[in-house]
Amino acid sequence: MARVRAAFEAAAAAGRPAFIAYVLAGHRTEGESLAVAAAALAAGADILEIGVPFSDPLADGPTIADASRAAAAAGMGLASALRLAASLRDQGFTQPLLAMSYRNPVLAVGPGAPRTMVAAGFDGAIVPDLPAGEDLAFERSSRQAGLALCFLVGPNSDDARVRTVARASTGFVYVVPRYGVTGARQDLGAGAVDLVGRVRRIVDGRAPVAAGFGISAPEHVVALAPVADGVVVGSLLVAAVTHAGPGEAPLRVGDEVRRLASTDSYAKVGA
Amino acid sequence: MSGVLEQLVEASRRRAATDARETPLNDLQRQVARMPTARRFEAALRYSPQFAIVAELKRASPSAGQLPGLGPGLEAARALARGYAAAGATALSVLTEPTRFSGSDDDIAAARGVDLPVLRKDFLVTPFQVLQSRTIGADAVLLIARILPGERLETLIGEAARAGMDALVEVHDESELARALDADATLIGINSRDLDTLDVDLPRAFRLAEAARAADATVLLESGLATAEDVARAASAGAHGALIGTSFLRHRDPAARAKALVGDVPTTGARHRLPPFPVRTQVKVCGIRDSKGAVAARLAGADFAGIVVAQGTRRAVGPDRVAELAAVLGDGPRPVLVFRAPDEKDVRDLVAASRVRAIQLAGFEAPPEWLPALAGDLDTVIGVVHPAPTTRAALRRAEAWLAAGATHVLLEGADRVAGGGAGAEAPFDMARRVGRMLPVGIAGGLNPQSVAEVVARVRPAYVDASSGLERDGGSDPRRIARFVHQARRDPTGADRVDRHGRFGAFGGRYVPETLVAPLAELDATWREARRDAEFWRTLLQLQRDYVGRPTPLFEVPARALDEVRGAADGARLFLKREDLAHTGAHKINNALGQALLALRLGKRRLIAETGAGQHGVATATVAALFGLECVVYMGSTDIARQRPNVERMRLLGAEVRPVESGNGTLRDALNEALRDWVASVQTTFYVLGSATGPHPYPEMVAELQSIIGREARQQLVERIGRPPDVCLACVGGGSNAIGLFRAFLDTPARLIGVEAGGRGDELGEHAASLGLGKPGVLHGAFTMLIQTEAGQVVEPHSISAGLDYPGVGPQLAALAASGRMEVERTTDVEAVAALRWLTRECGILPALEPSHAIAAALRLIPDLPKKSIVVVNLSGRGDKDLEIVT
Repeated sequence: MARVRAAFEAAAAAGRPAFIAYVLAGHRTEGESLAVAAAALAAGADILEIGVPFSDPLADGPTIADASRAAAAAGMGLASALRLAASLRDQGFTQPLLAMSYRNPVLAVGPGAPRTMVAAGFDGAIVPDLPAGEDLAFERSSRQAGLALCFLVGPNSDDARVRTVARASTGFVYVVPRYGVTGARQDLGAGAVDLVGRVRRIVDGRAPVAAGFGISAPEHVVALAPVADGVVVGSLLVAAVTHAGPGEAPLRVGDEVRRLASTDSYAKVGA
Repeated sequence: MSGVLEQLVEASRRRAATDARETPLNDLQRQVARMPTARRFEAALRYSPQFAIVAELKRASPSAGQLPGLGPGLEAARALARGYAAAGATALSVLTEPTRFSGSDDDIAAARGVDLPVLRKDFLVTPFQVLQSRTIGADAVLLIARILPGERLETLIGEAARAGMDALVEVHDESELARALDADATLIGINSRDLDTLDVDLPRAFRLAEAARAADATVLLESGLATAEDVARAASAGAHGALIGTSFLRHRDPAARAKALVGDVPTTGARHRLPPFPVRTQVKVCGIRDSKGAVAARLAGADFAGIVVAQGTRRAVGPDRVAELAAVLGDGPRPVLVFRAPDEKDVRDLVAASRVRAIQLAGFEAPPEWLPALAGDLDTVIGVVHPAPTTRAALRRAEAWLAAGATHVLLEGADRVAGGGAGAEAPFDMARRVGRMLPVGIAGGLNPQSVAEVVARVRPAYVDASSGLERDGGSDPRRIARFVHQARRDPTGADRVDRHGRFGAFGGRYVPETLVAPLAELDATWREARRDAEFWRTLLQLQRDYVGRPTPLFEVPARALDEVRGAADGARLFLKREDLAHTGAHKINNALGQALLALRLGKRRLIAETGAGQHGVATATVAALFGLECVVYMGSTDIARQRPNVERMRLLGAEVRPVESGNGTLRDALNEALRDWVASVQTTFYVLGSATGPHPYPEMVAELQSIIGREARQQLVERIGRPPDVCLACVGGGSNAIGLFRAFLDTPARLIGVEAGGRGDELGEHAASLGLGKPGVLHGAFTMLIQTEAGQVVEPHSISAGLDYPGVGPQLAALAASGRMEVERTTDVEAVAALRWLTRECGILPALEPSHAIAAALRLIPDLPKKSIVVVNLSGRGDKDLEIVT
């Protein structure tokens, strides 16, 4: 838990939002997703989200949904994510690792799931189809196990709802600044910056506030930098893996992470 | 304690402490309180017609080391459980201890795959562990006297009883047996192995068995029995059964060993006549003494009405008035003559004079010796058991009543001398324990306010009240009505949605955050509309003029049925003709109601998912009626097999969006519709087609469909004067099933959900989420799901597109879990045969979906009592399926 907060603080000290990269466990193969994850971290990701393949990824757009279903059909799942996290820890990576999983694969592990995830090396979890307050037993057992939960807020979450989410989020508050599923988009969407700003005011320092869903260009990061403590980039990286030739995926993901996360390109665009 | 035992206890204590940090005790208590009634472990042993074998699943033991009979993994445990069941085991025992026995809590769930009660064997030392045993699926727990000193043993026996489980108290010597009996244990396990020395002493075990049996306990021998001779000696020592583990498991094929042994066990001879456990709590309203009270009991739908004839008590009715009151009750509640310690002659005279053939006998310590001769002439004999010093004594008395010819046993709070009806509280904890063995009722201190909670806590077969139903000394019709209603509440909460959107454990709102606010808005709109008379007026008018309701209730002619039922006075089969509703299926009931809600919310765009196309057609139809935009998501596989409906939707002006992902069936269409809704929620109303999805959809759809059952009930009452005995409906998502069943939840009717058995029971070959799935989250609800071990949803199979769905509505999941609804499966082949049969015999072409229910009804009918009334929801017509079946 503490490691997640520390990562945000370190980025803030460097005057930039924390960069959160998403990698799908078992994307194409477990070996390749491990190399991709390591590349993303080596290229400067402050926090890594590890996606758990699921047969019915209803909050995801085609890029992640197709990859997720294909990986699930090939037998990948939460176990692949646990192995991936453990391997990254074995390789010496110390950045926070967050599991991004739908409720059902976690449920299948049983009530001890948070403990199992922490034991494998995870610091936190994001469960996109579990709204804050829906499963208090899971929230409690996660706190006990030291698994930081990051709940989502959307454009239609009112102030009271944002406060509920902030209280439940032991990791960070994840702002989805648009209606719809995940997926890279040309523009951030009207009102995204305002929404993140509003959420941040309401959260009032109780948890870091990061934005995701659709972020795909340095300009997006720059636009969000004044209001967001972190940015999440997912579909763009998943597409890079999907379209990479044999052996190229780690390089391409590393390039994308550097392009979006490095203070150089960030400063250049911002200038 | 020896070193090994001490280590095991210490490890158990540590595990409990870790678990207890994650789940507070009162959370666990709440969860357990709403769980379905556990399978009856002790009763299975005590009333087994032959010496019972409890077969054990364990991978290793400190005395035997690794055992070859059970390998690692849950699949191995599941397979062995199946093997033991097929071998004829009476119950299963599962070692969950992880450090020395290589067990796990999940093994319990694996063992529950077969329909046998499951004992959890572990080194339990805290109340938390006992409760937690129930949550992981145990029906009984092992409590080892040796490791539970002082009052701890009694505390844990009580905890197990309150959690609705049986406690097997393990003893090894005379002093432990004495402690167990003092702690009010009813089920004694005699371990012939000394836990300290690991030596086995069978002669001593047999001596202990005799002593325990003499104290009216149920007796199980543990350890050391291997041969048929051992078993024969155990049986002659009075043991009801033996728990056998190592001597099966040291072989590669333990199930074969079990089968050989079960084939050799002696029969136990005398067997109690066991009345069945009713599917829902029965209610007796006692102390009826005027026609106002009798009318109230009849209107409330009570099962029994007690007329007190014990003279000298306040509610007593003179013999001359009994027949008059019975006449007012009519064919409603069965009248019962309530006596207190009567002479045989009094009883015979009054029965003869009043022609009431049901009696209740209170005031006896034991059944009178004249009862067996009289009981044969009566329909109902209720024997009253007054407070007993121990649970074993209460159980023995209850058994004595049944052996003497009683059909019911009532545990009363009042003692034998003071008499009932004064409000002395029934001994609830003892009643719960006796009630796990036999279907007993409770009386004493019950009233309309408390009865639902007491029923949930005690789970009695029936409840009885008198003083709690009176006001100013007379029957109070409102209290009687409320009491009957509250007593029949489902103890697991399966009959109603709670404020968290759950039916028992199932339901909820597992959705992306963007849908939280719109679902809350929908819920508020729905609740407001429900209270709005104008909404219902509009809806009912459209149901009449546009849909064509009420739909007929058609009785299958005798000519068609006689071959099936074998006798002219066999069961009668009625079809609720939803196929005659506009658009040809029940789906329009729901689509119409939701479209009215969309208009209320000012949303002009409707989206829907569809499987067979029936719900898509219904939604496109109401969109046309109200001039709304309509997009229907339909899997590409379904588009190919349900062509006519696709054309209809297009003609109606809807856009049909093919969904290519997955297998292109209903589930993929639902995913896609939800994705659309997440993005378009500000302008779009999602017309969900089944009683599935996030709250409030399951409740809302069920309510909109419940018109099916309400009509059927009224039609039956008008035609034959009573509700049905059996209701059947097919279950995919389950909207037609819940639509029929809701009206009958508080009646004694059997409710049977029929799932698609497809091509077989292997994963991927069926769509039987209730029968073959396990709990999980899909499409916004916690429900039963066809999935892999790792929680991946598996593509189901059914010949019928409308049933081809891996989940099921949460209320049906809850009703199946609570036991209120039975679950059956019909295969593809059987469904097609039933479709042909109905078409040929009655000239009605049903859709493939309800053909599953018809097939199940035809299978059931030959075994039903004469003149049973069976209702099948004929949820849609079969024109769309012509290509598949011809």
